[in-house]
Amino acid sequence: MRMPRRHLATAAWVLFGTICVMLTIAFTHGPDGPLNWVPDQTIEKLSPRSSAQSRKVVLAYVTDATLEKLPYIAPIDRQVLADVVKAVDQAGAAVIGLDFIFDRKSERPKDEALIAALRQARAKVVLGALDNRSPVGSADLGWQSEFFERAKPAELGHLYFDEARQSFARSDHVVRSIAAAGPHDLYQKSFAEALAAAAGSNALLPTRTIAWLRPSQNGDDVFLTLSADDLLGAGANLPLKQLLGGKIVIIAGDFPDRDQHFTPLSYETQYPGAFVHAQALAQILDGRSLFAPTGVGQIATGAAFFLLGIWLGRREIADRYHRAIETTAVICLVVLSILSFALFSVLLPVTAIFIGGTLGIAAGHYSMRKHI
Amino acid sequence: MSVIRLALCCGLAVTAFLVADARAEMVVLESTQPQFKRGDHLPGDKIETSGFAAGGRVKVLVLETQTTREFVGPKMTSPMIGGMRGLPHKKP
Repeated sequence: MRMPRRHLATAAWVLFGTICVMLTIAFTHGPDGPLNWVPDQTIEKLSPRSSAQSRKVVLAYVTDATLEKLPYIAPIDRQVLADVVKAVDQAGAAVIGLDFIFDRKSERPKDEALIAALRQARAKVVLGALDNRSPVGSADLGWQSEFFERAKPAELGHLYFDEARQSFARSDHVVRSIAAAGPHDLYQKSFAEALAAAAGSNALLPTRTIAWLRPSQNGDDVFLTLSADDLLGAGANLPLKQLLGGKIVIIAGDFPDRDQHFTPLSYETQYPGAFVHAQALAQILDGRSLFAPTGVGQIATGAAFFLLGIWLGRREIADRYHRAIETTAVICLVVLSILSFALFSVLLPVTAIFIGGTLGIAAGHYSMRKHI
Repeated sequence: MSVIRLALCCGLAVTAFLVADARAEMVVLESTQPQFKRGDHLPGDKIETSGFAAGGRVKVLVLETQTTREFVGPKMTSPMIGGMRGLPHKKP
């Protein structure tokens, strides 16, 4: 028995819809995914590439290999940190940033060695700080303050990132922005802003959204990235003065069990927190920005497209050529989002536009007299 | 005469290209591949990664440009299905 032609068409549409839904689920992380993956894909595919590896920022990582002969890896041995600071300073770095938390004492001679290395450094020293935003006790914050007073850094900056937080969806733990400081937070400047200030730039992040740099096309890392072993002479014999002279060197940890973050640039790779700080710092130094409307901005955009949708849905032409109009609208939305990112560094809230527009068209269509 | 000049120019260009490539040199900073040891100096500015083990990586410093670069082998997981190669499927 042959199936009627119209049933075949229905079956084809059902199959197509099922495939679309499965692909959507495969490519996203659940119902809240589209809110973020469209901007993330835009950032990953269209962000500017560094034409040459950043000449200003260097990352120096303490790793498991650096500490393999020591009895503990947390907190990171402060004698090792003192030695790394000295090596970087002797190489002529302009600014040394330490992306570590100093909220507890360790071994006294090693704590003292680190404080001495920081005080004696010719480079400007910037330290990362915690404040009341972290669930740490007042004793820990007190020890941190005491450490800062004794180390006398040129600048202090908070180490907090921000994630997409919505009341109706789980966070996907992807770092897209640097946390804004509230009026009662002790440290108002972010670590990147503090590093930029120590390097002589008074610019702040224009928006909290990070304007990412992709690796250059020849495969170079975005930032010159060395391990602490290289700096301490345990690895290859490197021309450290040429590599670090006059630069901003961020010393940080790269361990699989802490301070690793997903970013819009990574599908499955996590990056150390220092990489995120370095991206924000490079953005400040290059004068780049990225604007992504959130909250009220998204609601206002969605509402505007809802009204536009109502107007369109009430047109007779929309009733007659609705498939062509829907296809054209989706194509226009994609092109607009690409153009707004490429030309104006603005991430269009495509999900809000899509939902607002679709609801508006439906509302306009069914409010016409012939449907009531 | 012009043909000879053209040939000479081409020869010079090829020689310059080869010399430039030979001058490029890398130092291995980190390696998970046994054929590359830390501190090794390698000619050129590229490494053939097709022979790498799954998840293998070699990090180098390109001396001429003073930039770091990472060469990675095939991935161990697929973003679509999450399968793993070269690793046991069951956790111990």
